[in-house]
Amino acid sequence: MLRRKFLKLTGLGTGALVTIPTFGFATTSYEEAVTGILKKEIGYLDLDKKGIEKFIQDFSKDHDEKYRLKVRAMYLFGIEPEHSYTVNDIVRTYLLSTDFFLNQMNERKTVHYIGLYNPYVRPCTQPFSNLYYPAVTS
Amino acid sequence: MKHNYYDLVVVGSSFAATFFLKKYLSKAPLTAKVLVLERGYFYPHAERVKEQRGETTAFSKLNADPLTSIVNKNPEKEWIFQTAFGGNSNCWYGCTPRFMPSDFRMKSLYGIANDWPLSYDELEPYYSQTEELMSISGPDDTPFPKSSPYPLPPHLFTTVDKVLKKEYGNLYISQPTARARMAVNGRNACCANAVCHVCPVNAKFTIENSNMGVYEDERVELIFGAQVSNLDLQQNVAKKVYFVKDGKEHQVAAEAFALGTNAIFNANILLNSGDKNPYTGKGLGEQQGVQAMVYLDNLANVGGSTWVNANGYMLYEGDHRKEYAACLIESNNAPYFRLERGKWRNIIALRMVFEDLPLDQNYVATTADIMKPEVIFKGISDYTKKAIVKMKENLPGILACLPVEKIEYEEPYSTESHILGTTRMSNSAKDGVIDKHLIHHQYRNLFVLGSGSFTTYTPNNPTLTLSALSLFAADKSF
Repeated sequence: MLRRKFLKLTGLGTGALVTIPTFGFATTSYEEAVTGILKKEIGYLDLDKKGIEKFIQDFSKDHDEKYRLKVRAMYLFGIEPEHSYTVNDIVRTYLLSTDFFLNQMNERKTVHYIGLYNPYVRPCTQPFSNLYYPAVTS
Repeated sequence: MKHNYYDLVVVGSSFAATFFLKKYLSKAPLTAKVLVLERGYFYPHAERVKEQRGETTAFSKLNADPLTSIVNKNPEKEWIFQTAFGGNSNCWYGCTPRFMPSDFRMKSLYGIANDWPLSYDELEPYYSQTEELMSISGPDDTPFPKSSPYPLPPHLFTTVDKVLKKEYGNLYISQPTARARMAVNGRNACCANAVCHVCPVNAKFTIENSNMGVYEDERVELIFGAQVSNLDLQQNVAKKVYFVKDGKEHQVAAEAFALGTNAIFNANILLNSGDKNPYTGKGLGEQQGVQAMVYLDNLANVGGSTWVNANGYMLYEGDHRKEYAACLIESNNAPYFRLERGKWRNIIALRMVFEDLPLDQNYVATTADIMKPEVIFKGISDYTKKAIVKMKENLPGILACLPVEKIEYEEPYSTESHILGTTRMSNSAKDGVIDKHLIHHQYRNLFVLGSGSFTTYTPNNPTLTLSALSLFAADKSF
């Protein structure tokens, strides 16, 4: 049975994973796990390496050790975003915090981290709004 | 308090109370004495934004936690409200569609529940006044009749909205909204941040930024931290109101009283006062929302200028309302996207909002703690449940003009953030608590304001209508 299918069927794709120690678990850092998740899911984009490091630094400020353990487990077991809120959230938060959408989803441009997406810190940066699509008017 | 006796005592400072006062003050003599009792405190918008940024502010602890202000017997059903000055204007999202004329005639047209004791035509001039006071942005071509244009231009459609507009004409419109399309009256233009509970750019109308001059009027005395428990009702007249401030009990007499808290606390105050109307507290409810995520092939959904860009009326009007509820569609423009290469924004979130009916099983009751009502909500009506089933059958056909890949439905929302119907309006005490002027059928100097007055629960957001009702009631009564 494929490991991914097994995980889906057993429900180990959620919280139960964090209790399974492996060699990879001991040697893979949280930072490597987040980077690995991003590369696995959107590695076909040209992701700015230093930007990812800064993103991880900023994103991690609000997350505790339990969360970090969970992320490492999710990464090591290759959990897909559609099966994990945590993985989904990491990828979505990263993309919204870059210039990818501001560049109108141009997959050929290098993706640069701008800062965690927060309308209270940087208002009017909703990347799908008319401000970024001036040619689309009613 | 400056006086022992007032011409008018108003309880609360949210939309219902403020619009009622606005009209009252325009008609009252310069010598009028008005007292406003607000249980909460002023929490400025700028301080709320600081809190959202993660900064500390002394204001954040001033007001009571809504969750601990009531006993909610059904935690799966949320009731959203604020206890601060300005009430829910601080946390609303600013959607202001009018009701449809048919919404006031559910019994006559469809044999459902009851008609409202007033018509759309009677309320229409007050809708216009409310839209002017709130500087509403909206289109010219609406499915409901209008005697005046919206004060501000409409918000911009997304690419997907444009396709639906072309297909459905005035059944698909730019949403009328208090999220300003352009800077106006001290407010900034909305830029689609989609976190409207505290607008980062102060674009939505609130009582704080209203510039209505109500609380600056020299005739008005506003007391913060004054929580009302009950009224002294004698011989069909409201004599006094009792309240607690700084741990001490107070009372004050007046010629007239207006309850302008929300539908839960208005009912609690009446029940605490011995109001025996069988409908007082009964029929607590609101709309039911269901999110439809519509995946699109080769069409990116971009270009909107606000949070809810559009309203769709394609599942609203018709004889189907004899059997199941009307549905209002909201086109949502939050920054959601697909995690699929090349299809990132090929998706639209449609919030399907269904009307509901007042049911006796859903009600407000008193508890041993006079200030803390109990809220019992056992569920929505079969009328609404059937509409959800029918919507899922009909939506693919409605959206046939779009390149739809698939539609996914999320679990029904636990709240639409509205509280309706515990003091319903009617022609007589046989069918409700208050009359069309929002005056209690038995206590003729007591107004009971707000969305608790709603006879039925249309799919529309209630704020515009409850504010217009306050203007109407004060205009006709003073």
